[in-house]
Amino acid sequence: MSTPLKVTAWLAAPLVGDPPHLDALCEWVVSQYAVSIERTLSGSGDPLRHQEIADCPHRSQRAPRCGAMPIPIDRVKLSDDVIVSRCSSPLFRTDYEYVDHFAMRIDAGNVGPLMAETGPQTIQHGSTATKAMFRPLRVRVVERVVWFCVAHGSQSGGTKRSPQGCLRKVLREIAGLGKKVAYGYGRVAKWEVEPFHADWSWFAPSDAGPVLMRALPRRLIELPERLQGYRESFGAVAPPYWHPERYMEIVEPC
Amino acid sequence: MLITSTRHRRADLALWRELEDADLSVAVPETLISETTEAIQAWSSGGRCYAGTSWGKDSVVMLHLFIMSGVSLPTVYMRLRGHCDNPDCDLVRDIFLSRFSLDYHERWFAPEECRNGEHWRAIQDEFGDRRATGLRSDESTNRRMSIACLGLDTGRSFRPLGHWRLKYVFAYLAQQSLPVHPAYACLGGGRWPRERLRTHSIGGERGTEFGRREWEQEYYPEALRRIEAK
Repeated sequence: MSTPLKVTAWLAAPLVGDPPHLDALCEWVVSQYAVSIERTLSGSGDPLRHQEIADCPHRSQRAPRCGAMPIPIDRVKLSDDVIVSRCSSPLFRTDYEYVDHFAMRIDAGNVGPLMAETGPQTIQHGSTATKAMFRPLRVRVVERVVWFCVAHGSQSGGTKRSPQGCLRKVLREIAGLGKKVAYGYGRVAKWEVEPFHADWSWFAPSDAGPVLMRALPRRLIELPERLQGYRESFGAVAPPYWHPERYMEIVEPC
Repeated sequence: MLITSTRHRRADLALWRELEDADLSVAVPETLISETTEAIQAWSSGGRCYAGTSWGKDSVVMLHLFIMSGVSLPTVYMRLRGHCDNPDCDLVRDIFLSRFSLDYHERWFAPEECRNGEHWRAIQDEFGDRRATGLRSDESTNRRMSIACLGLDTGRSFRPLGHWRLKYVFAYLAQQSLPVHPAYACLGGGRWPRERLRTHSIGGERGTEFGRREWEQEYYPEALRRIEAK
C-alpha cells in the first residue's frame, strides 16, 4: 500500500552546495548493502559486477539500469529506460548565505624530506596534480530540508514494515547532506518521516495552478494546464543525477 | 538596460537595481568619450579592418561608440560549436541589432580550431588582419602593460576602450540604455562580483579562475550538462 509522506531532514550545520534528491539518497544507501550482499553470495566476487550494482564511480562508465536499486519510494515507468521516482525535489528556505573557501596548497617546506632520494624537485603550484586551489563554496544556513514522496512498505518472511519504517531504516544511514560533509557541513541532526494528506511528489496545488515539484522529462509527460514555477532545461530525472547518460530535455522547478 | 532571465533570483535583481542606480550617478568623462571616438575614426581610416564582439559589456559599449563615431565596419561574432557558447549572448545581439544597423557577421568554429589559432587566420582572410576588441587595461596586469607600452593600437589589435575603467563601462551602458547581458546580474545575491563575470564560452578548461566553474555550475548548469553529454 503506497502512502504519501513528508520527509524532513533537520540540519545541525550549514549546507554546502545543493541538497540531493531523496531517491538518489535512498539508492546510494541501498547500493552499499547490495554490494555487500553480492560479495557474500558470490564469494570474492567479480569486481565489475560490484561496480555495476553500486553507484557509478566515474562519469566515463556506463550508468546502471534505471530503477535497478530497490528503494521504498514508488516509481513510474515512462518509457523503457526512463523511470521516475514519486518524490519531489528538495525544498528548503535559506536563512543566511555566505561564501567559504576550500583551499589547498602544498607547502614545499614539508615535502622536502620526501624528495630526499630524488633530489631537489620543482613543485608546480600553477598546474598539474600539485596545483594550488582556492575554490569558493556556497554555504547556506538552512534549518531543514523537506521532500514530499509516495512510499511503500515491505514484507519479508514474517516481518511487515510500514512505508515510514522502510524509509526511516534507509535514511538513518545518512549523516550529512550536500558537499564537504567530512568537514562537518550539512550534518543531519534528525530525520522525520510523517504521513502527509496528499501526494505532492510531482505537482503541488496552488491558487494560480499546479506547481512543478521535481524535474520531469519534457517529451514523456503531458504537463498540466496553468503549470507554475517551471522552466525548460537539460538534465537528469533519475539517479545518478550527475551521469551524462541520464541527461535529456526536462522541465524543472524554478 | 538589463535583459532579465529565469536564471536571475530575486536577490540578484534587487542587487542589480542598486548597482544600476549607482551606475546612473557616475559621470563618464566627456574627454574620455571624445578621445575614444577620435581614436576610432583615425584607426578605421587605415585600411581593411573589423570589430570583434562577444556581446559582453565591453563589446556593446565599443560597438555603440563605433556607431556614434559614424564608422561602419564589419562586426564579427566568433562562435563555438558544441554548446560552448553562452546561450544568452543571442538575446543581447537581437536587441542591439534591432536598435542599431550593423554590417554583422557570425562565424562558427570548433573548440579545437581555437586552440591552434585557425579561427584567427580564417577571420583575417575574410575581414582583414586589423581588428578592434573591447580589451581594457584594468582587466589584467598583462593588458595594462600592453596598453601602457604599445598604446591603443598595436598595428593588428586596436583597443578603443583601453583607458576605460570598469565603472565607466557600466555607467555608459546604464546611461545609454544599452542591452546588458543577463550574466552580469547573476550575482548570487552579492557572492559573485560583477567585474569578474564573463559572457563568453561556457565550460572552458582555460579561465576557470575566480570561481568561474562554480559560477557556471550555479547559473548555467544545463549548458554544462549539454557539453558533458556530447
